[in-house]
Amino acid sequence: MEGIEIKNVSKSYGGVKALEDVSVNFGQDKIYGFLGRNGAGKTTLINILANRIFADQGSVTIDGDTAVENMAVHDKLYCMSEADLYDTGLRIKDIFKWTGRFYGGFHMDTAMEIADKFKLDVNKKFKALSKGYQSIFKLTVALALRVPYVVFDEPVLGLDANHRELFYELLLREYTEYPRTIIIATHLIEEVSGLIEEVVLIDNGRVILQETVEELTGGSYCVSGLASEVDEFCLGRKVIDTDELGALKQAYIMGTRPEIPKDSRLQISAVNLQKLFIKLTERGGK
Amino acid sequence: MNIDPNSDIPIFVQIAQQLEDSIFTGIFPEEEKIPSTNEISALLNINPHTVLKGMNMLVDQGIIYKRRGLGMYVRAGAVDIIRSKRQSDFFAKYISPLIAEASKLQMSKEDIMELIERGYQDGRN
Amino acid sequence: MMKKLKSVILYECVTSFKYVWIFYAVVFAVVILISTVVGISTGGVELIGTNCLEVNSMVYVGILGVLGFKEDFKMLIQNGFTRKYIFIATFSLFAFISALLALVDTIAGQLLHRLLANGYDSLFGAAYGYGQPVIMNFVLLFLLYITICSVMYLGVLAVNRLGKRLSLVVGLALLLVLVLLVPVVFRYGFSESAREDVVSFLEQSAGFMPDGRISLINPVLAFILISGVFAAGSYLIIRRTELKV
Repeated sequence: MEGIEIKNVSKSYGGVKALEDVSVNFGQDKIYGFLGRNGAGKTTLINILANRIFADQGSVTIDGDTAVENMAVHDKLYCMSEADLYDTGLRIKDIFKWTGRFYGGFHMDTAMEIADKFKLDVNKKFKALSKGYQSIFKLTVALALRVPYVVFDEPVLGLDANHRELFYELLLREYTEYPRTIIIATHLIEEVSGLIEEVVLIDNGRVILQETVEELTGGSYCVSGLASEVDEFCLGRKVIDTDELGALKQAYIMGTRPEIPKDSRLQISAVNLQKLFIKLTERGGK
Repeated sequence: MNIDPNSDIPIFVQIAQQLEDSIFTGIFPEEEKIPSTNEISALLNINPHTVLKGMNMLVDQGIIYKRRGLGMYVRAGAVDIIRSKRQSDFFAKYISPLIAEASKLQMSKEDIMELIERGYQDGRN
Repeated sequence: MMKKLKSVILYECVTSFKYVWIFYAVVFAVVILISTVVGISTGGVELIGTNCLEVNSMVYVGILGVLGFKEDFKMLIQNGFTRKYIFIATFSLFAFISALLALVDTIAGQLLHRLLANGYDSLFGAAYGYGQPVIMNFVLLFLLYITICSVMYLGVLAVNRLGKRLSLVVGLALLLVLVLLVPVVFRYGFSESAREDVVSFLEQSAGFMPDGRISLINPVLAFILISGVFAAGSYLIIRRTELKV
């Protein structure tokens, strides 16, 4: 069984469910968008995958081997975390050096080149870096690590527009040079919508869908028109959300886009990923 | 090339359209190589699989073809294929919405014909 | 897998090694300062008040036991190591630093005692005299430091597991038991002969036999037992320890 397989995973913190019966698969050599709002459970799931915390129930396997306390999966997975899990007193180049000793797949040249592109001072200690540069350091390590599964947790946090653009560029470059599974956990959907092939959407601790971007955007549409006519159209369809403006109504619908009759005054348009994300996760958070 | 991630049109279709445009206008001439999937992917920050999907649309239409180990090339006669495709799309893409809009505006067939006539005259001057 | 284990042990030792020099620099600077002040005011070369320099090392390894968990656990978890490997690496570090300190302290203790003509007493010398083999001085110090490390390590793991408030309660309860309950029970709960038996047992564990001989194998076994128990406890806790972020 190849890939990462997360099966029926649940996790609670003091009676509050952070994850509830989550099952997801991440296949090989694809770029995934792991999307969800802040607090949806993205980091909790990543922490379980990375053996940082334990699931209350369920299993996580990587290429068929358990990911829980198993050195056999050590060289297969690297999870960049939003939290700072480094010895903050070490110099950046020393952390690179140690990462190279820990992982056979770490490419020092690539790391130094990426650091140079970002103008990251490798002689500085981790704690002396600004928040943005701490993020840059962390993603540099992850980019330079050629392991089959790499997870980025909110990689562009604190980065300016130029650095974000550079990160996406380098990510694609590294991906084409050495294809591997890349999982980008983020709530900034618009920026990654062109990069990702498949979407895993998590909301309130539950995975609400896993589909390719095209299935998702092709499998949803927006219909607008006179409220009564829209309501009539929506009968028997899977409506995820509606907006109303006086007599005008817009409904967001899951399903293949139908042909509308010629004499109809309804208008149909596509829904982009960002909009879809907002509509799917809006309830309960509005 | 410029991709709009917020567009109604899926990204791979946008890529196919823009490549097609560039071939049609002669930026990529027939029997010449077009940029590789990875080059386009890096330029636009788009997943290479998505770019490939767009390219495959053009392969299916016989506009480009793959030379083993060399890359994608524009097929001889590609411009003709694009032209005839666009001609056959012309009605659905331009005339149908034109008539639909005209009837919303309560313009008659004669009104439209007159406008088309005027358009041609303006173009001549 | 051996390569991985080697890399993680190396990491633990190398990143902690530099602090040992800082530690000794500080200790000797203080010792020299005090001796100078004392020397000037009394006119004699005596290391008054600076006996048993090993106590400094005990404080140091205590801190090491605590820090051995805090920074390194998250760094090594981030780098994909299992808790088992982290545990092995941490105890390798404890052994490495304890051995290093024990070596330096043994040499320093023996030298200072001889050089200063009984003006200085090491911890080992004060307890067992200077007639014992020097190697036993080293072994006992080493085991003492390891024991302190494992006690502190278990402590910090327990605190991490229980949370600050609960550990405060548990800590206070333990303190009460040790300071109040144990002496009271010992004083009033035991018969005269039982009390003597306990005292004698403790003395023998420390190596002081009833016939006045000194048996250093007893404290060696005692330290191995105590550190083993605490290490095993630490292992059981760390296997279920989650990273807190």
